[in-house]
Amino acid sequence: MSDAHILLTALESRLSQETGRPVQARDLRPLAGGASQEIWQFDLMVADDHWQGARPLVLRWQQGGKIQASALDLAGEYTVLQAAYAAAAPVPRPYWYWPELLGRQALLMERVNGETIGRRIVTRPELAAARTQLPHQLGTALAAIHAIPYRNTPLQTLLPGPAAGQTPAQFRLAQLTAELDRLGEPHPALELGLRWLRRREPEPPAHLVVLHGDFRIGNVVVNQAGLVSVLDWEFSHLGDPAEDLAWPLLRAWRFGLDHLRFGGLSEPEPFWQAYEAAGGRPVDPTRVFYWEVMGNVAWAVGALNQAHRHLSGQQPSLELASLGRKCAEMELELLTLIQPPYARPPDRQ
Amino acid sequence: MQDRPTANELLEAVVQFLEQEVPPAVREPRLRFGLLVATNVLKIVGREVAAGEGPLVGEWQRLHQLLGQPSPSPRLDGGELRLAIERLNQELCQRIRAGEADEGEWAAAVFAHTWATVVDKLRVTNPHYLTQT
Repeated sequence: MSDAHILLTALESRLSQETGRPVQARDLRPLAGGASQEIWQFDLMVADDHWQGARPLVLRWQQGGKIQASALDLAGEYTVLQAAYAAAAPVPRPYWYWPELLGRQALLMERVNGETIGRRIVTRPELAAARTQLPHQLGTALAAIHAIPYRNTPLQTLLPGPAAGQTPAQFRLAQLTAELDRLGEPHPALELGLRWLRRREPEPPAHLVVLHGDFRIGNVVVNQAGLVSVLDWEFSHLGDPAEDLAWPLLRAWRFGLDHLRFGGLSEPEPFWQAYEAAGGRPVDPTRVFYWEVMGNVAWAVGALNQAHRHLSGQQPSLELASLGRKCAEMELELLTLIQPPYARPPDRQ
Repeated sequence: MQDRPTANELLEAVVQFLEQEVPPAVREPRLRFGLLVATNVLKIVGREVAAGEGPLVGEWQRLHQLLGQPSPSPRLDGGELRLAIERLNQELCQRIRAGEADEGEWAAAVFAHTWATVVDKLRVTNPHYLTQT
């Protein structure tokens, strides 16, 4: 039997147990595969008096382990997705999490159709109408995410977050410094960024919220009407709402349209206004700027980490290797953001 | 000395092959993306080879000046130069972390040096990034 056939048999048997009925997993095929995670798609048919309509699903099937030490595993992501879905945030509906399907963890969720590739979202002519809606839709979606209740729920212990007496900024600074030190490479530009951030630590926000942790163009599904779903929840944590408000502004997520500071789509204001109108706390641009600087350090360290997954042999991949050379882009952006009045750096040209 | 093509000319030939001859045969989206990444990586290597050791020597000299070390010793070869720069960068990082580059003249010099180093890196990794606005 082929691997696909073995998977099909195991999948249908487990789905029958879950639904208590005969089922078919039609059109099962791989969507993407990596060393640690495979993604399959299929249409679930459940037998009633007659076969019910097809339910388009995605199976994420992975070996133990996480993308990064601070990331959630598949079980954790399922719990966050459930909470987000219950709070009516636009996410794919989560169906089941199984600790073990043929020796791997499995997460089954709704399959949503649309474009996810950032460069296409900001440039394709057929998405022009979507682009006019997205700043507003993303602001509204982020307000819903930040309203996800977490106190006295499994999220309170599941999600990483500041320790008692620690502010969200101190928590992230400690994480990033530890990750940089673990890499063991000296990066003066990143040290300048970390030092700038340490000297300007903001007061903690009035309330900690559930953060998506990677909220940006590239991690959302978009169709011609605009936002369909927010994906990629593995970096969810508790923290300052300004962290999520700043992350989609990073130059790295403008996909070449640098003058449109919000994700290559618009100025940030329409996004912030929609966030506030949908119940988000008032946006403080100074605080968002602080987190934009933090975000550039974070993605620089993230890119170096990805390259080290290749270099260490943990996950040999040309794409991961190439990310190491992206670090300089975040370093330049970081220095541009924090350049002090005394040092007027040479012209960019 | 090797015969021509030079290392850079060989790299350019591979880039041309990957950009012009391979794509029609590659349908699978992940492989197509991988092909783009591979081509881009080869272009980076090509620019790094073409830049030679100039940027490294510049970084090394600036670090010496910043850290007040005795004048640079006789010429180092590539490997030694990289090791020397790494050691100097470690010291610079420690001093930044300790707050020595927070304010004042030395801070301005550290910032200017770091800016120049990052710009040199980008001239190799993504020159386009330096001109985009």
